[in-house]
Amino acid sequence: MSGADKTLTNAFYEIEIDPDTNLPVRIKVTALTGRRGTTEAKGKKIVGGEHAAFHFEYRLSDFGKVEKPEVPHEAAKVLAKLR
Amino acid sequence: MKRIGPGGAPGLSAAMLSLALAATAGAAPPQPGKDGDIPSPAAKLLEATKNLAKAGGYRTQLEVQGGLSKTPDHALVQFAVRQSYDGQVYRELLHVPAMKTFKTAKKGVRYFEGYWRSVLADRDGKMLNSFFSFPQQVLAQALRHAKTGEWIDAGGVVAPATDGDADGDSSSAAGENDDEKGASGKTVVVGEGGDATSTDGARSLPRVMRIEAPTREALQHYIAVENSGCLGGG
Repeated sequence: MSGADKTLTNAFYEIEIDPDTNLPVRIKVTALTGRRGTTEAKGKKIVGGEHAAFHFEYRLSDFGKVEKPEVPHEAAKVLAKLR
Repeated sequence: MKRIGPGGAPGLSAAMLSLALAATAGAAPPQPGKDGDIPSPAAKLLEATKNLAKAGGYRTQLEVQGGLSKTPDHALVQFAVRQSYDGQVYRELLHVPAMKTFKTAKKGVRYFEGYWRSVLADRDGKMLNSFFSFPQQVLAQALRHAKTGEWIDAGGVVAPATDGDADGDSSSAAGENDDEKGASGKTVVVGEGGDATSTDGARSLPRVMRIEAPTREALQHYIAVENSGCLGGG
């Protein structure tokens, strides 16, 4: 991942919404970074060549079925102390 | 150091989400699309974000894959990171049972080596903290750019079938194949021009949108990945 060209970065979201419930069921974030001398770009858009790509894909389900988790006392204490 | 997750937003609160919703509502008022009966991606995203906030608790699975790509669809040929997490979100608290982690938008704790410690105290926790944003936070961030949104499973724009799928899994978007099961399990047929119709003849609404983020936000994503330590230098 060396040689990152931080002046050439792209990101986009892909979001799937269930038309029946109007709830998001999939969220995908793609983040791209060019590499100096090897990335192909059209303007500021990365279209090929060597580049770094990161994909974060969330799948959501069980809406309204998850109950409040029980946080152990010690965990809550540590969490409260953190800034 | 200002932490920014994949969602790009530095923190999450009900107030922040409300502000994002209000800002978006002001910038891009919900309107039907050109077609009249197809809602605009911005309007649909706004509605979905509100509904998610109302849902309270839900389950979320996150797959993170990153590394080197050489192709226009950004599929990976060399991996720097491959992680998956299974979490439960309840309002502003995320619980990842397998990692014994509780996390809010700004901080988190993890049980390891016999003690509850900051989630930032070890490499795995640091990666989880960097990668796993609250989905509502990610949506709030996407909402800021919702006016660039377009449906990719209806009309002119169609996503590449393997866009971003590193392992060739093409199960991501309904409407990619001529005949496939939608996420609801209903068979969906995509006709000419991208109109999706169910087998009983009723027209289906588009369900997958794409939103471009500005360069500045893309850079923030890169910095977040760099800070996670997964690239070896963080």
